[in-house]
Formats: sequence, structure tokens, C-alpha cells
Amino acid sequence: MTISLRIDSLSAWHDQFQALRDVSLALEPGQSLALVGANGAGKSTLLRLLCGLVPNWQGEITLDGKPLARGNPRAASSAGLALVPEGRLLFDSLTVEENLLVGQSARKGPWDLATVYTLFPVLAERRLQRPSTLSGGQQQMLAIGRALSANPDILLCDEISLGLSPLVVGEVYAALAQVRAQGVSLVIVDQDVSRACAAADQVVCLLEGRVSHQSAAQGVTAAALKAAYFGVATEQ
Amino acid sequence: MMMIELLFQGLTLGGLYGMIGVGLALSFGILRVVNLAQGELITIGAFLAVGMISLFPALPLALVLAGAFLGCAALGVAMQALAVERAMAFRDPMVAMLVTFGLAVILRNALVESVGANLRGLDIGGLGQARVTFGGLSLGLLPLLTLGIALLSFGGLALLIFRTRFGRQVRALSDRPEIAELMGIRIRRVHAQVAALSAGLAALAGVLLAMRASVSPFSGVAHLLIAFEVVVLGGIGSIRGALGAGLLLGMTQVVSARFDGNAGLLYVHLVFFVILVLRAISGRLS
Repeated sequence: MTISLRIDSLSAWHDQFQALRDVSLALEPGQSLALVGANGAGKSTLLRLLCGLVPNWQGEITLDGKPLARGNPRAASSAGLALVPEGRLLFDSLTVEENLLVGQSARKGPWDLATVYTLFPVLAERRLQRPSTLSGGQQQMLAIGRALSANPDILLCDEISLGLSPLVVGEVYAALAQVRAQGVSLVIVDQDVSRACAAADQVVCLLEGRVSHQSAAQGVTAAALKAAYFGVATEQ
Repeated sequence: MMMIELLFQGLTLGGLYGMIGVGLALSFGILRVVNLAQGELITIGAFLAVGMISLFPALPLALVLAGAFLGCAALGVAMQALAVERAMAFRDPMVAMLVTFGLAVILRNALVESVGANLRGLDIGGLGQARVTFGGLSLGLLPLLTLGIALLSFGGLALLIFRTRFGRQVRALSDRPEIAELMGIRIRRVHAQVAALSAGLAALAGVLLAMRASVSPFSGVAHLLIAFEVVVLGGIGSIRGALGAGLLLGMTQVVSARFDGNAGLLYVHLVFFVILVLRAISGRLS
């Protein structure tokens, strides 16, 4: 159930503004990617584009060799992509459990209510509550659980630790490690470079829509990426 | 005894007003479209029933209701798919509202063209005079039926929206359309289903109306006014709110008619106005 993702010379536009320029990257089956870069570098655009939410792009994107449909969220979902959106964007008119149920799709896989509750026991305790009554960390867990419910091959996590306490960030990453151990590829966007890199095989840094750095993720820290991150020459 | 009779009449009329408003509450709350054709859909529901009864006088009420519901639901789907859905693509909600205004004009004139401008009532035989007695309390069968159908409709709708997969999808879509689409929800299909439901509920309200009073092809605007008051009082998109607001307005009309026979809807509108003013003063108008 693992699949590969290949992106070739991808450019994307928001109206007149070009958000991505000639981005290429490849993710082998089961591999995980840390996607880092400053605000406005195009990280969220890339994730949203993969999910079919950005229709205006050129280039080539294939999942297991099959081209990705343009601007079609349903097709992206059935192809095995799921998004944990920045700011969680939960359904507040639904209970915790209903949020998970809405996330379910026709795809087969290990993730159902029971396994999501095993991963995040606190969600089982709160299953009949509204998401707005949960803490920030619990909301992030619900957003991850909702995305997992679709049994994706690739889980796209946007700003995964934004606004969370260090303790909770640790819990979220521990859960992501378990998800990864199940064979799900992760694409993690996070301001915390070291943390994202520790959870990934590969790191890609974006700068003003271009790939400014690409390497194995192991041991990469924010300091090492300074030039690629901010676009300034580091003093030797 | 008189108090109970009054209360019962108020409940009946209130249930009916709730029914008139709930379809609008649905399209307002879920599609975010102010459907100005809702009044016409109510009228068409009534005329569908009148037509069915004149063709098949012995048709049971349940089938009349079902026929009117399905007829208007089909019309609602067609309107949504052919016109409203396209208008919804514009950011400005005014566009969709104006489209439904145009549809209302078309429907109204099509109705005049096909059935004439006369007032029509639903011929329900002896049902209008029949009474049932519970432990010394004699109640009209027709109002009892009206209240029962209204409460059943509200109960069924609440079950549908809060207990089914379809209801989850509807609420998710209303919360965050973009994310809902990511979850694989077919946006246009759910829109069409909600439009069908809203139009079908309008038809039920129309049949109930035609059983107690006459309707003309021009009744739509008056129904729309009541529907608006119900939706605004009950809270945009709230099903329970629509029932509550309907009951309040119905009760107001029945009680005020007791003390001032010529008042008509005056006190209903006054109550609506006073509540709006109170909300404005307390800063809860939005």
C-alpha cells in the first residue's frame, strides 16, 4: 500500500502570483519528507496543490507512475493523499467521532475508529464533544485522525506544531512515528526544522518557490539550512 | 378549557409556520443561498396537491403529501443544478439570491398560466369538520393532523441531519466546503440533495396550508415573509430554531386574534420586530 510520489518541474500560480517555480522532488514508497522554508516559500501551496486545492499549475506530478488529476480533491483523496491542514480546519458542527467518520473513504486500510482511538486515546474519551471544546493539541490529533481515516498512502501535514506547547509537540511527533511505522509516507511542514528532519528520510527546503536545498534528513538542523532557508550567504 | 383550545390552535399554526420556514432555513444555512423562490415552491406544492385530488378524489392524504414532496423536490433539484449552482460559483451571495428571485417570477407566472389566477382550496371532504375527543377534550382532526405532520417532519429532518451519514456530510459541507471536498464529499450532489429536501419540505407546508385555507398563485410572497421571520428569529440554518420561532409566531397570532379579531398578522410582525429591536439593543443582532 505504499506508493511513490514524483514531482517534475512544477510551477504554480495564485492568480498573478507565482508561488512555485520549477520544483522537482521524488519520494520513494514508504519514505518521508520534511518540507521546510520561510513563510511564503510555497510549502503550503505545494501540499494544497497535491490535494487538488490549487488548480493553476504546470509540470508533472505522478503517484506510482499515474498522473495526478488537476484541481480535483476527490481524485487526490482516492489516489491516496490526505491533508492535515494548517490551522486544523475541523468541522465544528460535528462531534469528534463524526469528524473521524466523515474522514473515512472507500479506500481499504488499517485505519478505522478503533485504531485511531488506539493511537489517540484522548479522542475516545472526548468522542461526543465538539472540536471547539478540545485543547489545541487534541484538535491537532483529531485533524491527524481525520486524515488517517481515509487510509492514505501519503499523509501531508501542514504546520504540524503551530501553536502547540513543546510537550504536546512531542506527543504529536510520537504519534506520527507510529503512523510512519505502519508504512504511511509523511510529508511534514514545520517551522521546527530539527524536529521535522528527525521524523523524515529526506529534507527539501523551499525559498521563494524554488528548491534551495535537498538532502538526506538525518541530522539536518536549522543552523545547517540557514542559507537555503533565508537566501543569504552564510559567513564562512 | 378555552385556554387549552387556544394553546392547541397556537401549536398547530406554529407547527405550520415552522414548516414554512424550515426549508428556507436549510438552504440558507447549508447552501448559503437566500432562496426567494421558497414561497413559490410552497404554492406549487399546494397546487400539486389540488391537482392530484381533483384527478383522483379518493387518493389518501399520505400519497398526496408524498406526491407533492417528490414533485417539488424534483423541481428543486432542477433549479439547483441548472441555475443556482452556477450562481453559487460567484463570491457575491447577491448573485444566487437574484437568480432565485428570477426563478420565483418565472414559477409564479408559469403557475398563473397553467392553473389561472383563482383561489383554490384542497377538497378534503369531511376532514375539515371532523373532531376527536380525548378524555372530555374535543379537538379538530385537521389541526391535529397538521400538527402531527409538522412534528413528524421536524423529527424526521432532525434524525436525517444529526444521525445519518448524509447529515454528517451536509454539516461538514456547511462548515468548511473546501475541506469537505478533500474528504471525498461530492459537493454538487449534496447541494442538489439539500435543494430537493428544502423544496420537498416547502411542498409539505403548501399541502398543509391548502387544507386549511385557499391558495392562489400569488400567495408565495406572503409565505416567504413568514418564512423569513421564522428563519431570522430561529437563527440562520437552525432546525430547532425554526420550529421554536414558528411556534412563537403561531401562538402570537392565535392569542392576538382572540383579543383583536381584525389583527391578522399585525401582532406576529410586531413580535418579530420587538425581538429584533431587543437583539439590536443587547448587541446580538448578527
